[in-house]
Amino acid sequence: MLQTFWMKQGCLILQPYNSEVGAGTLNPATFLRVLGPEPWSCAYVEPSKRPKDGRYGDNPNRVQQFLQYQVILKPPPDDVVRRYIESLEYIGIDPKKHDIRLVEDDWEAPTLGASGLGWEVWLDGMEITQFTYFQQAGSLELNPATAELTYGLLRICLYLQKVDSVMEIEWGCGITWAEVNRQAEREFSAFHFEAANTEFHFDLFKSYEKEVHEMLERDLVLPAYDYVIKLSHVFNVLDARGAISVTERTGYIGRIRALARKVALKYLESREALGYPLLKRAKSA
Amino acid sequence: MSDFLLELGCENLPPHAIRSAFEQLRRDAATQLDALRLPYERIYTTGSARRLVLIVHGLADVQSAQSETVTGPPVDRAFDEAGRPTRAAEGFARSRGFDPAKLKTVETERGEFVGFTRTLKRRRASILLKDLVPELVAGLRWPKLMHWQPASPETARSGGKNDGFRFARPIRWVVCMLGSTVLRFSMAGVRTGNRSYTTPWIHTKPVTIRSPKTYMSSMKRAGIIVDHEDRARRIESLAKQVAKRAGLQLIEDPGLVDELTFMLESPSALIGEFDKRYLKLPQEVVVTAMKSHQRYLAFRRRGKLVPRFLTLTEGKVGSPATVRHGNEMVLRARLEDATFYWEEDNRTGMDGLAERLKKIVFIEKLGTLADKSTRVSKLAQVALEMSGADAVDKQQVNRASHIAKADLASEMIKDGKEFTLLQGLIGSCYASESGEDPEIVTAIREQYMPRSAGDGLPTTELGTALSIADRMDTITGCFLAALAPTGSQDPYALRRKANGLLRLLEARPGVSIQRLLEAALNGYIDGGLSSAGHRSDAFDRLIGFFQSRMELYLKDRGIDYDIVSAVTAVAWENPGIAWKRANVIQSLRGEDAFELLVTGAKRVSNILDNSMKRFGLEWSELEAAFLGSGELAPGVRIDPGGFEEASEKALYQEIRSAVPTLRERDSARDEKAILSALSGLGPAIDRFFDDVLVNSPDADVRLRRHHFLAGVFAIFAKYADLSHIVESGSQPPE
Repeated sequence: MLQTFWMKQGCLILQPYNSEVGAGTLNPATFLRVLGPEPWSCAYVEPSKRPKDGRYGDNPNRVQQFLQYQVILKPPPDDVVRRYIESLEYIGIDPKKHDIRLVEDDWEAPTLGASGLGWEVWLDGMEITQFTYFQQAGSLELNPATAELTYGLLRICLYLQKVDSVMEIEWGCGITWAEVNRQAEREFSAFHFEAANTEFHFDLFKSYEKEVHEMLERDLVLPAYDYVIKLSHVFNVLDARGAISVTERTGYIGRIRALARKVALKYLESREALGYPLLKRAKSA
Repeated sequence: MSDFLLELGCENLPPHAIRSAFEQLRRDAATQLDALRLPYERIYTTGSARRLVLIVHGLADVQSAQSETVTGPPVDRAFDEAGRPTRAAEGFARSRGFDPAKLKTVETERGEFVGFTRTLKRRRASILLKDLVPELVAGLRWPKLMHWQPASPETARSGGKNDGFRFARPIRWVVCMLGSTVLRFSMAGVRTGNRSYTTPWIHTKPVTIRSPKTYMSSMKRAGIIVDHEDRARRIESLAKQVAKRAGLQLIEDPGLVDELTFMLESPSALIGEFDKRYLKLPQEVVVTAMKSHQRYLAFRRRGKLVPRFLTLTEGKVGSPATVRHGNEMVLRARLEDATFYWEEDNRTGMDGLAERLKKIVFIEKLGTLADKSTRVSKLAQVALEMSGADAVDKQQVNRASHIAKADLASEMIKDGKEFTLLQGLIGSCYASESGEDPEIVTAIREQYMPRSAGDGLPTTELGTALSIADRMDTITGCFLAALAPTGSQDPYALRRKANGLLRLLEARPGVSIQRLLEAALNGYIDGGLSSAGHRSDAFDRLIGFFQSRMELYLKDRGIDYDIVSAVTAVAWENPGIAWKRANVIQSLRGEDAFELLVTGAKRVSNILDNSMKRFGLEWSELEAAFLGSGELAPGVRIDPGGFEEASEKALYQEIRSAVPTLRERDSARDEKAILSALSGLGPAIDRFFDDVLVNSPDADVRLRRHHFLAGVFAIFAKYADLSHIVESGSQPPE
């Protein structure tokens, strides 16, 4: 449903990225495309993996992997908030019947050097979307800004199906979310909190980091970025595993952020070298 | 004369920043209108989540009349011998579009010049406002700014910064009217008009504004309460109505009401319930779960929390039952989280939680929280000994310090969300659950008090000792780790912690900051977190910090600056004593006996070399010097055998009898009685200076008299350096 709505609004419909990400923002369709002057509007589902949020499938609201619906509008249209509200109407949430509120919440992703101003959107007190006017990515100021709408799909399902736990959501054909995913929740929670081999993951961190540097030297921006994504996930696993102390944490985040910045700069160079093809296209259209 | 209206329609602004924005708007508008010579009757500004409003009542339609005098070259260079204008004068006149023949002489402070006077053009307000408004809006300060407009072709090509308008949130409409006329221009990518909106993304129909006079009523008809005070009153009355109807008592929360005032434009009330099994959680936990994220108000009946909440919605909602159910579901999830934490933590128990402190870093380079607990325990003992609170059991201090920070390792606090605000309180709840001594439970709850200038003080000696020790330990540690405050930077709020410490010590004259500091430094050195080599440097800097805090503290409490200097010169390290003395002196200021004493103290101080001035001598030394034959300082001895003048002998005798009295009153800490005993010496000092030539031509006599006065000075200097006091008649500067 959301897919149809945003397609009609002129968004490209894309697919999730083929690597573990903590949020749809890491998908290159967001992180890289928000850089530079080229217009870009797209929408996609993103399974988001957050090792720390795992609760062995026991908690009604927290899971280590959940689904986001990501909409990117660059530059943001003047009536972007109205379009968002219309998307809710489109999936059956009548704004006149409910209490829909924009509550100040400035979003930030320290590993990506990404931040913006915006709100969390409340539906009858429940946070269902993060709405951000992106101002920075890869520690670079964006021009133009991008509107990023991140719908929490499970929250919205809870609401629409009037159930109390993520586990009880009917995912289709009478099968519940628990039946589909509980085993994964249990096993990945155990993996992230108890079993993951920390030495192996620290080695991965180092190797991935090295790979980013080498690919950047060869001007292979997209492969370099792939390894930034992987770094970020390995960091999340180590963090959940309790292998990174509070003091070290800032250092690791800083390392990833520095690489994200290098990739961002390189990406901008590469688009400029290509003559910003999407900018030309938009002008001729 | 007309009324002027500016309404700036925005996407939801950050609630905490709105008030200061419209207050600034009012001030800036006043300044600018004055500068533009546009008189008005009254300026009104207000704001809400989606609009900032400026109304200028009775604004002049045109600028007020004013003439200006323009001066050119000096008179002697403006005319030639024939009295014709020189080229310089002609050039000046032409450049200003003026006939050189009409130049006249203007007298100024710098001499005589040629010039002319012209009447300034009176421009129309409707034109001036078009430039003024964008300037006012762009000048508003917000905690964070953003841009939202598309890149201009130039910046897109060059990869430069977005040069569009910057504001706290996007501006989407602007109503700008002078009387019933729209002032048309563009700003922030928006064309001005006379159409306002309620919530444009939900109710798209505009509200047409006919004139500034009808603006408020038109908005009201559309359901928007524009004025912030009206909204606050509305929220309060809604909450009270609900409470009254249900026979409940509202738990007042002005901070939350203020936030809601700037979140909602047409507040409407909706009641929800939650399962009463959550009431087994500490009341504060439940209230915090309701308030800090969900912004719900809570109620009590007969002092006890009831399982209900009040949420305020934007306007009346279409399906109250659904909205209520949604809110109940969200609150349930939060209370469920809290219950999970509560049960988990209680299973772990106080000792288990305290054990975890060994793995939590307090502040980088300053060890773990467990290390801190050990230091605080020793420091608290030192504070208690000095306070004379000997009744507090050592074991109890140890236990309390050991578990005081345990809640920082609890799931409830570690979650890092709303419940972190409850540190200390959560710890005391867990301590109580696990059957700790009630005094320890109270002390844990009180260990962070006073949290702010308006907060209460701990009620128990143990709680006070923990709070003193915790603050002193953090301040000392931060100075050791190069985290001392500089300028506006004070990331660990050490200044506030120090102010709280001084307040805690006000009623504890026995506690010396200097001794606390020594003990605190020892704690870090003994724990291997600092070396003895850093000690003296850190000590000096900390002393400087506390001295300046003490001075500011006394001034903030209304003590005159000269009394502050007099007292802190001597007694700053005992804030309790300094505070009492400062008050005694302030209360006696202007009385004859006191003024005479001050005059005397000044005369003593003026005649002595600084090398002769001794502060902080012990009473035993003073007694030895005056009553026996002890030395005041190496080579300084009082020698009454050589006294010649009667008033010299009289002063000596008076001091001899005063010393034991002063000593006794000092040990009883009766500050008022000490000062009255000192005042008793005033007349004798006065006579002494009238009769005795201190700087006698005879070197021996002179030296003897100086030594005697050094002794007199040392006695005053145990109390205050009274020479700092400005005598009455000469008023202290503001």
